[in-house]
Amino acid sequence: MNHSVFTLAPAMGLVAMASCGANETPAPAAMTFATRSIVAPALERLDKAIGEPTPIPAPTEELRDLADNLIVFLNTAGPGMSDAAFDDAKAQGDSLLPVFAGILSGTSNTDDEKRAAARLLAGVGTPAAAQYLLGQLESNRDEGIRAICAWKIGDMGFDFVIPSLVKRLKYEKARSVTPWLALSLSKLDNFAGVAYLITVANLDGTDSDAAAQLQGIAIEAGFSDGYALNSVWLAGDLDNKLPQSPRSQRYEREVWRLIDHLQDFQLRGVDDSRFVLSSLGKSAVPILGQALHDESSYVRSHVAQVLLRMGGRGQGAGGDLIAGLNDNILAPYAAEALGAIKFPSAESALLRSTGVGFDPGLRLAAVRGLKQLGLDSSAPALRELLAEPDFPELAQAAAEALVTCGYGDEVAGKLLSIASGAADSGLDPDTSLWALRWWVADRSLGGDELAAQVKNAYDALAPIPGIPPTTQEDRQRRQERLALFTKALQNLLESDG
Amino acid sequence: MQKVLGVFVALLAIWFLIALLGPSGDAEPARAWKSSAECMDCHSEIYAEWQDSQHSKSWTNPLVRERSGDFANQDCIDCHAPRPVFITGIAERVLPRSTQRNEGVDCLACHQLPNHPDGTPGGVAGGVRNSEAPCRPEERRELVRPDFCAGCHNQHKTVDQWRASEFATGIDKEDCLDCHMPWVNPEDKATRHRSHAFPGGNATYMLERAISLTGEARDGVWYATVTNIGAGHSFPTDERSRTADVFWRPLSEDEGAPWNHLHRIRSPYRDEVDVPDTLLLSGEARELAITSESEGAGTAVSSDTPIEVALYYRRTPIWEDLAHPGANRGAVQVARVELKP
Repeated sequence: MNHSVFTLAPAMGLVAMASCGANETPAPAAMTFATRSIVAPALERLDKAIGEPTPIPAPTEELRDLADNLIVFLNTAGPGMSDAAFDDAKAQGDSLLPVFAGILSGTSNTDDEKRAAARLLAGVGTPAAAQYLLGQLESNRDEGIRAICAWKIGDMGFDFVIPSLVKRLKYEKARSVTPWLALSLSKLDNFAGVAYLITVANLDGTDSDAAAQLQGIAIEAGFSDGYALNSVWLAGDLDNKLPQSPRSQRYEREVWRLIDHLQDFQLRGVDDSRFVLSSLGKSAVPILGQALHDESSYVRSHVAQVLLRMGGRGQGAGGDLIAGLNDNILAPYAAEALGAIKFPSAESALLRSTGVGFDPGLRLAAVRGLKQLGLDSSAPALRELLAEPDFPELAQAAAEALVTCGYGDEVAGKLLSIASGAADSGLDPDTSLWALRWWVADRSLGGDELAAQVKNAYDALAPIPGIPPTTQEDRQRRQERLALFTKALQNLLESDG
Repeated sequence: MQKVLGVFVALLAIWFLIALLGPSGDAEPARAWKSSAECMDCHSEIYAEWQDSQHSKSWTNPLVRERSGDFANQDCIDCHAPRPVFITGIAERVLPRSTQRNEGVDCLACHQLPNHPDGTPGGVAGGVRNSEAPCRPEERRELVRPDFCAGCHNQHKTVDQWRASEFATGIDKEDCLDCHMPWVNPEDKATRHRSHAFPGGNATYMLERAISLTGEARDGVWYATVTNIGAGHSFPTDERSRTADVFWRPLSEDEGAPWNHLHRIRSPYRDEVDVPDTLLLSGEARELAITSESEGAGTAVSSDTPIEVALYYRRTPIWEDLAHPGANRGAVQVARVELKP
C-alpha cells in the first residue's frame, strides 16, 4: 500500500507538538471575516424612508399654453423681469416638467425657446426637476442645452445629482459643457471636476472661461488657485480644508445604488460605478466601509478597488480594509487599497501579510501596499523578501517597494538585473523599469542633473500617443531604456543624488 | 500526566489506522500551482501553443498596453489577468488577480480549482481524470461549455450572439471550442488535444473563413454583399476597438491608387452615442450600394466602371490613412473581389 506523506502528517504533528515548546513561528491565523447582506437592506431602508416619487399627470393643453407663454416671456422680458417667469414655473411645480422636457427633445422649437425651457425647467426647483435636467444632460444632443442644464443643476442644491454629474464628467466630450459640470459639482462640495477644468483651461488658455471658472471655484472653496484646490482634493483633504455639507438620504441611496451595480455581470456598469464612487467625497466613505462586509464578493472586491482609487479620501474605511485582510477574496484588494489610502496604521498589518504561509496573492498585494505607503520603517522586512527563493515576483515587488521607501540606490542594480532577465524569469520587466524611472525622477527633484537627464531620455522614448506600437517596437524601446539605465547606473550611484 | 499520555497514545493509534486503511497515493493532496511555467515540463506542446496565443499576451500586448495606459485603467485588469474561473464561478464575471499578471489569461485561469474548505489546494481541472499525472487533473466537463468562456467573452455579448445563431440553434451545432480550440492530432490518441493557440481575429485564416465578399451589377450600378458565413457570432466581435471596413476603387494597374471608404462594421464605444452598431450578425448578408462616399452617400458608381472591393480588418478603429487601408498598421485584407462589366 502506498501511503503518502500526508497520511503521516497527523502523527508528525503530534510528535512535533510533544517535542517542541511554544516558540515555533505561528502559522497565519485561520481566516475569519463575517459577511452579510448589507446593500439590499440599505436600499430597502432608504427606499422606504424616501418614498415613491409622485407620478406626474400627462400635461393638459392649458399647461402647454402656459409653458409657451413663459418661454416667450422669458425670451422677451427686460432685465429684472425674468424672475416673474421663474416664479410662475415654480408655482406650477412638477406638472410643467414633461412639457419643458418635450420642448427640449422636440424639433419644432427654436434654439432660443429650448434654452429658455431648460432654464425654466431648472426654475421649477424640485427633486423631480433635477431628475429631468439629468435626463437632458444624458440624452440631449444640443451641447448648448446640456451646458445650461449642467450650469443650472448645481444651483438647485440637490446633492443626489452628484453621482450622475460625475458620470457625465466621464462621458461628456463637449468642452462647452464640462466646465459647467465642474462648477455645479463644486457648488455641491464635490471637486472631482476641478481636474477636468484644469485640463480644459490648459487647452483653452488663461483667458478662457474655463480658467476663470477654475479660479472662481478655487476662491469660493477658500484656495488661492485651482491647482492648490485640486492637490488637496486628490490628497484626501486630510486636514478638512474643503467645504463638506451633510449629505441627504437621497444622496446616500444613490451611493448604495452604485454599490449595488458592482454586482452586475456587464463590466460596463461596474466600470461606471467604480469611476463614480471613486470620485465622490469623504462623505461616501463610511458607506463604502459598510459595503466591504457585504456577502457579495464582487461588492467587497470592487469597493476595495474604489477606495484604492480614492486615495487619501478613503482613509475613513481603513479599519474595515484591515479587517478585510482576513477575507480570502477581499484580502489582496484590501492590501493594495490600504497602501493607496495611506492608512496610518496599515503598515504592521501589511508587513504581517507578507509572511510565508499567507496566500501568494495577498503577500504580493501587501508588498504593493507597502510600496504605496513608502515608509522607511518597512525597509528591513522588504529587504528580507528580496531573497525569497520560490517567489521571484515577490522579490521583484519588494525591490520596487524599496525605491519608494527611499532606498532606490540600494536596489537600482537589482531592478536593472530583474528587468534585463525578465524574459527568462517570466517577470514583468516594465514594472521594474517604471520603478527605476521613479527613482531617477525622485532624484532629479533633489537637483541631481544626471538623474534628470536619464529621466528625460527615458520619457523621450515613449510611444506616440494614440499609435499602438508593434511588438518589435515595444521590445526595442524596452532595450533602449534598459541600455539607458545600464550606461548611467554607475555614475548615478557614484553621484551624490 | 497519565491522562496526557493516554490521549497521545490514542491519537497515535488513530493515525496508525488512518495510515493503514486510509486512501493511498492518489489521495495525496494536490499541490498549489503558481504559474503557467510549471505546466510546461509535461505539457510542452500545449504550453507552446498557449504562448503563441492572444491569451498569453493579454497583459503584454503593446496594443492593449497602449489602449489601457499600461493598465492605469484598472478596469481592464479583470479580464486581462483574471483569477481562475472555477474560483469566481462559471458563467460569472471574473475578478482581477494579483500575481503573475504578466502571464495574462494563464493556464490557471481556466484549470485551477478552488481550494478545499480546509485551505488545502484544490488541484486542477482537465478533460480527463488522471491520478498518475503529477498535477492529477480532475475531469471537469464545464471546461468545454460556452459558459466557461462567458465570464470574459460575454462582456461584449459574444456568447449571447452565439446563442442566437444557427451555430447554437441549428442541426449541426458548433460551439466555442469547435472553432477556437480545434483538435490537434485528432487521429493520434496519445497526442490528441484541443489547441490552446485559440485562433480568432488574430489569425487571418479565421477572418477569411468568417467572411465572404461578392458583388453584382443591377440597374446600371454596382452592389457588393458582405456575408458572415463562418463566425458563430457577430463579425467582428468582442472588443469595440475591432473594426472591419469595406473599401472600393476603380480597377487599375496602380497598386497605390487610393481607395474609397464604403462601410464600417463595428460596435461603438459607450461614449460614441451617435455611432450606430453595425456588427454583422452570424449568417447575416449585407448588401451595400457602391457609392462615391461612405455609407451610401454621394452618387452611385456605374457598373460600366470596373472596380475592386475589399474588406479590411483592424484591431483599432482609427485609420491613419483611410485612402490606403493596407498601409495602416495591423490592417489585414480579409476579402477582395473584382467587379467587371
